[in-house]
Amino acid sequence: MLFSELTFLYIFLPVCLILNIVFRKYTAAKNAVLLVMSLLFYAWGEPVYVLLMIGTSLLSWWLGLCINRRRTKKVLALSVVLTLAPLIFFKYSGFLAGIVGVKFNGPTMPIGISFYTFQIISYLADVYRGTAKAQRNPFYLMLYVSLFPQLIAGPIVRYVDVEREINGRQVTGEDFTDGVLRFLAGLGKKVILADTVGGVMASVLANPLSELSALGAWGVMLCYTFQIYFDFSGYSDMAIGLGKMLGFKYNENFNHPYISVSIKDFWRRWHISMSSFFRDYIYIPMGGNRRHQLFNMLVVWAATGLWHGAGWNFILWGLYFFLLLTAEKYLMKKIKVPAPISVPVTFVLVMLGWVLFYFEDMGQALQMYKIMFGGGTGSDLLAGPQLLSVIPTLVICAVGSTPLPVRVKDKVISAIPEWARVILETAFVIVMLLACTAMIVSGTYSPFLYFRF
Amino acid sequence: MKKHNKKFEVKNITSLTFITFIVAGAVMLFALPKDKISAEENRVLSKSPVPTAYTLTKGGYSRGVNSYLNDHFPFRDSLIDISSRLSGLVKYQGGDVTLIPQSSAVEGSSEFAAVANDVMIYDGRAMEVFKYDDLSVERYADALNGIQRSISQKAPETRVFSMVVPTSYEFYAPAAYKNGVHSESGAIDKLNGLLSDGVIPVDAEKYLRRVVAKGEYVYFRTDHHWTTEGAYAGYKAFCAKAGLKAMASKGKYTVPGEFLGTLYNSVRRDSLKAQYDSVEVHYPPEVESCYGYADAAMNTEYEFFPLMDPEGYDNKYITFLGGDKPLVKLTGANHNGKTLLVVKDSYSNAMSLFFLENYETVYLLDPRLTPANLADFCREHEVDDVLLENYALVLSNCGMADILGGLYGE
Repeated sequence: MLFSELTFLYIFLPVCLILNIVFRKYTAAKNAVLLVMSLLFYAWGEPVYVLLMIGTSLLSWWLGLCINRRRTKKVLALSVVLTLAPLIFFKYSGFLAGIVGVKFNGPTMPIGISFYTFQIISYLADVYRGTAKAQRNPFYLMLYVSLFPQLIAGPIVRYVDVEREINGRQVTGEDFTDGVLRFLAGLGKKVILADTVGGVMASVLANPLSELSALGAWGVMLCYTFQIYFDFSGYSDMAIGLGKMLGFKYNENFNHPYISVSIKDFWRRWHISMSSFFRDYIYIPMGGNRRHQLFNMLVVWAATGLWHGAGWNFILWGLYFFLLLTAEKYLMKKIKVPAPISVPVTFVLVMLGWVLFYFEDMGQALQMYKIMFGGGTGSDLLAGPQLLSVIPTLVICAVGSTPLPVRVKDKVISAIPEWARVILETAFVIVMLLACTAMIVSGTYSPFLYFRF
Repeated sequence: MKKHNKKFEVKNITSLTFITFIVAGAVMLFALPKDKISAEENRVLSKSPVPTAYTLTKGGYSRGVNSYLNDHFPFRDSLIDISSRLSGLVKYQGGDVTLIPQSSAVEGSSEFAAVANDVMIYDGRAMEVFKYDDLSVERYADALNGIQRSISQKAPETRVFSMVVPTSYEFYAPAAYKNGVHSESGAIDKLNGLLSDGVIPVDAEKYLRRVVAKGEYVYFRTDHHWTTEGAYAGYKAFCAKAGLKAMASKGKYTVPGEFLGTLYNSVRRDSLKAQYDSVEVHYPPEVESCYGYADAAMNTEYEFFPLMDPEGYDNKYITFLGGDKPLVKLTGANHNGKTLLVVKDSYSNAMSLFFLENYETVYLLDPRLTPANLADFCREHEVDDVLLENYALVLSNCGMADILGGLYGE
């Protein structure tokens, strides 16, 4: 199930929130309801693979207890291997088979497996380090793994961050309202902005790349750059908002990454829960900055690429950032570039990275680079009018990806009385629900020109 | 403490509004009556899915529920209008040429692949952007050749014609947009080059171009069909190829009411609304009888009037035959004993009655709505000629080729 589906918004969510309110005084009952709802949420899209998630959760519960009893590297390593095994089989077996020349397409990948596998690894590592207590209740650990707000698309929530809330949580009216506002802001980012620029991008790229000029190629990649940000950060906003409505406080996953002054800065602001996972559970344990740093970086960035998808383009995308970060570290060390230059340069470098991320076919990625740098002969006949039409949306996206809207909102809110704030926020709720529902419904409105009459 | 409580309650108004809104949406979703078809979208709306062990484990049930909710959401039409206006707010709508991306399919709502190409608005006219690929053309040619091969075995005297009708895009889109894979005439030429000797191509494009050049009203501006004038040109193209004398025009009448067609409904732009269409009808030859059937086996029969009054319907194109039907049998006053079978899409609805000038019996079979074995049908009903008609967009995907491929068994 997706947050931007009517089934979620108008059936699942009201039922879940009402039950959460009814059982608000009883933690065990609230957890039972949330566990059942989370499993239903997952089973709705993955009716068979929900069993895999349940099995993996139970295994990790047992492994956590084992690690708690015998804190040895061997037990930890074995636990991590066992946890990673389903991920490797379902996500990478086809890719690995291709590398060794075996014909095997691999099974369908269960949704969210990368996210929940990493959550489990963080739990096991934290139990090993002693920063988290092993959970004795298997259902509570299953609840941590399957919590529906972050299950499908993150953020990667660490057990230590929600441990206390699983064992007992309270939702204040203020938390709930903040959660509602955050959820709707995320939903709007996804269905109004990301889907609009994404629709144009998909339509343009449905035609041969050779039809694009350099301007058209940059235009379409700009659409993708904003689509991926508003889509992904929108989902994180929705997860954080839903978490708040249910009594969980998740850490931020994005911090205006497109105003970064360097690539290093970008990765401190983009998908923070993933980059901090790699830092804390791979980079630092390998030696971090202290020994063979370059090798550690290489492994981390190859793994980052591979985590995003089983394909060479993802590995190259990760290695592209390894190269940029290495260059920044050694070449740009002593050069101080002012923000008016470093921000657009970083933005363009990230944008060039998205080419590798988007095109799984390396031939197409290279063709796109060639066109972007003047090697194209297309005239943007079909792309031109579409990209022109989406310019206002791109401007909204550009402004929306800076801290400006939040600052303006905070200033307005602090300057007006409480009642006016409530009116404004309530109006925001109605307008966003109406607008997002309209966009979702119209997304399915597709006249069958070639069917009846 | 008292102040804090008051503040707490005021804040709850926002949360309560949110919960009330989504709960009210859920209640209305279940309580309000449901439509069966969407006239604006020309399609049957999703039915409530039935859970089975198979659909529950394969995910089909959840997809079915999603489609059902999407199709039957309360005030759906008003929400779609809101969405169009919202899109207008975040998008620039100037420029000579406007291109509007369309979603490619509606999951679970039909067994047929949806053709929802991007829509171009140019010079007050909406058109589906055409783009073909070699595979689709080859598959369509294979299907036509297979049908002809099969018919030649069971009804060797029957002639087989192919007519692929260009859309308004071929004539009215700016020239620069009709090159290469965007050329309908190029795709049709490629198709004709792949047809076997037994399939006779009908050059509808030549006849349509002539009437377009004269400034006639050949295609609707807001709908994807041709007008009665276009259909008449298509009929004449067929007669020329089949060696028949085409019916002379007996004049036209205009159906009352403004017509905003499928393409308007797809994009809902105000600029198009001002360019509404009207439906004209060339007076046809005398029709002696007109029967509809639920399938090609002709088990259930009903009589209907071939030119209906579309008053009260938004879609005025249903004037012609009352819309698509699985099988229609027309008989006319020319008692020459000749029979034509038209395997058709909705373009033929506006053209079909003209054939009664040259054939005593005309069968119209819509392969999207009924399976059939064309060779058996031709033998049983002593069909003299078969016309395989579709509009050009069938060459942009394999959907129709796959359907036609099911009409012959070898």
